[in-house]
Amino acid sequence: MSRKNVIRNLFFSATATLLLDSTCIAAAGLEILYPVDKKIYHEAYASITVKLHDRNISKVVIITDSNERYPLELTKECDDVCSKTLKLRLGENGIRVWGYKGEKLAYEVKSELYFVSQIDKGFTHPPVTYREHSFHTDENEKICADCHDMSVNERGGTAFMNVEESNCYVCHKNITAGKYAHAPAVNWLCSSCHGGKSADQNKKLTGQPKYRVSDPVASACYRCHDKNKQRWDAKKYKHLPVDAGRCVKCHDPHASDTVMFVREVPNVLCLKCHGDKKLSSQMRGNSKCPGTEAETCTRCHNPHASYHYFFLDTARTHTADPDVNIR
Amino acid sequence: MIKKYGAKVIILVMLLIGGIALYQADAGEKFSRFIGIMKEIGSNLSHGGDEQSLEVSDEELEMLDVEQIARDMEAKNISKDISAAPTELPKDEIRNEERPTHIKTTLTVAKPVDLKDLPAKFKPLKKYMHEPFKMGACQICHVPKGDNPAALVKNNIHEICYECHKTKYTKAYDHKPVKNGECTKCHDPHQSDTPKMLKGNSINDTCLKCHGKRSGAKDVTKFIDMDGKFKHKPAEKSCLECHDPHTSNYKTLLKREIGLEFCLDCHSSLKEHKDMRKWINSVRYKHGAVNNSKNKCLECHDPHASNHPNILKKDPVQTCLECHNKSLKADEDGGMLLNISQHLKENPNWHKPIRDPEGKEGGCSGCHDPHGSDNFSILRKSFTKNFYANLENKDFFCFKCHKERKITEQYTTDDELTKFRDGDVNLHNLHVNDRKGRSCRACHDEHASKYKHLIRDYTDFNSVKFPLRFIDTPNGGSCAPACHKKFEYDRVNPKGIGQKSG
Repeated sequence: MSRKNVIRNLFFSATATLLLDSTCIAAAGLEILYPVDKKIYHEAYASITVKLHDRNISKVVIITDSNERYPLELTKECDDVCSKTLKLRLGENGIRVWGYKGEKLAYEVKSELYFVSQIDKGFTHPPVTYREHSFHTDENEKICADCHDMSVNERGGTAFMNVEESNCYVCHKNITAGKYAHAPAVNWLCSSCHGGKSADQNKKLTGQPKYRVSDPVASACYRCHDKNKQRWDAKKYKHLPVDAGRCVKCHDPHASDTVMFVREVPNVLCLKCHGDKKLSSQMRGNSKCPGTEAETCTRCHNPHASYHYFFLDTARTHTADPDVNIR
Repeated sequence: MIKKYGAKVIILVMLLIGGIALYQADAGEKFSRFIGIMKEIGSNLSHGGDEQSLEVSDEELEMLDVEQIARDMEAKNISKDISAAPTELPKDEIRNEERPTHIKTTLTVAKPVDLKDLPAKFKPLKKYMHEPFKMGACQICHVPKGDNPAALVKNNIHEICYECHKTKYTKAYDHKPVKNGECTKCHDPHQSDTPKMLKGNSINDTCLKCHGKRSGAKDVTKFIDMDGKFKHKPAEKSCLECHDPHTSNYKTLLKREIGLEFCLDCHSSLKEHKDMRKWINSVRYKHGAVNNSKNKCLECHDPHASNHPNILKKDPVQTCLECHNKSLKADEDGGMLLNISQHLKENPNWHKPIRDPEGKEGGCSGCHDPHGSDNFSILRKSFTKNFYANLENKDFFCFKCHKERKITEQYTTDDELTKFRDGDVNLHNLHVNDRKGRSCRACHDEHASKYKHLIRDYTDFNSVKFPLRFIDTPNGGSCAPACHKKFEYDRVNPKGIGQKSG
């Protein structure tokens, strides 16, 4: 066997281990730099970054499970690396990247990602084959450092006048796309929460990656929302996510299309866990019935804490704001 | 002859007792004149009379109080009138200068020169005359020497003065002419129309001959500009209200040590303003310039005169910037105060009191009380340090000038009232009149800004600085602060909340 063949074989074996379902089409000309295969995502957006080893590739297309095609534009700036941000569906997402030479499909690489949900049953626990992988380690950042400034350019305590100046913005801009956005997120003061600190539930992962968020996250939230903590701590009954300090279960810390950055509109959100309380279609039609769109759950129940059973507040008035009139 | 004069004296006594009251009224002015007359009478009585006597007018004769003169003759010297000195001064501070006794022997040796025979330059005679001059005792100071008929007895003038005026000025600080023996710089040795034989038309005129700003005097270090529009009343009245012209234990020849108390002696009981002593000592937030500075009141005020209201050294803003051109430490909490000078330099749009310091409510003192206040930042009225403040029933200093309706009206189309509207919806009201109403300072910088309407570039929320990202448009504008995404407003074509209401 010639030397050339040995190298080729090595290449194939390497890609074969990376891509479990390797096809007959060669993969050596293309490489997905990131994400790694079988990565778990906690946010809906994934940036697929592809490196072209074969310079003759004229077109690169990303194809999702549902056969949506996203062409990757090859620009002069990045002649061998190109990237595309996709919105993931909940659960498993199979992604294929095709490289064309002229009109002919020459290379294919595949990757499988898992978008885990905080609230949707069935998607809260990914299959064991998937793994947590964090990009922001010194080693990984080196890959991008040629073209991107990977440092944190946040000035302590001062938000960006123009958020596009933020080094984080370039890759993560999609997370603030919602109608309502959390101030630190939309101002790209990322390090106010993403400080690499950890809490009880992820203590071992301190500093890995550099921008790790503590779990439970509440300690980061209460740094600003300290008055809420005082208010809730005084109450007898606390909603489990509140007690566990997992604010992000209901609230998206970056942005959402719903007020208070909750992940869904009140009733839908509540029923994600409390599905047994779902009203029959007949009852839902009656607008006076509690639990309908007009009479949301939060009209009677305080989603955080209360002095009373079932988080009921007997002194409540008819208001949409759950925290009004709490004694 | 004795009999003749004696009878005359007795008649005069009878006549003039009735004039005692009148005599006392202007004793100061006429006193020296009367002494002269009395001495003349006395010498005539003892020496058998002399036809070259003083001319005594009937008026003067009428006012003569023989008893008084006799007492003074007996005492030989007359202590100085001390009633002019401020009553607050301690006794030892009063300059108790002895009035000199004129040496009779000199008089007997040389024949006195008659006032009529004085050189022409001394005529007409002035109101106040040096006693030896009046007596015609020129020889006390002058002696003919060669060609010069009026050569001085001694080379140095002050040596001649000190022959009689034996009080030496030996306190810590001497007035330079006193130190140099230049008595005649201020005093005329012969006669003057001004009390104390001063060379100027008044006390102040004498002082300003050298200390005036345009005097051009070379060896004077302290020039005083008394031409200013606003004058310190005591300074206008007389320099000697505060200064001693000869010597003092305190710098700048002041009668008391420079400091708060010196000024407060008067400024705690004036009708024009509040009791400063009480105010300064009672306020919660004190101004360092008043309490902790070197020159106290004089850090800001000119003690003499200036062209700025309240006799400030510079205009009401510049005076403050003399110190606030650096970040200073607050006395109360140790926090650092804003470097206003730099702030104003970096931000071209200034709040009106700063822009127009001499106008109504102008200058820093329009909002801050430079003598201290019970409100933080020595503000004249209350304010908040918080981002959130429910403005209901709040007496914020902003509303001293800005109409409260600016924020209370829910709908308005009045551009005078507020231009922060989307259509007719008053966005001020929307931001402010709420459970979580934002205070004025959430969006506005009280001093200066790069943006129109004093909109801040950064607002402090939870000790993080968030930019407001304000953009001005002809009929409105937009903001993209931390509080919400980019919201636009337009007075003519409503773009946001105004659409619904319209």
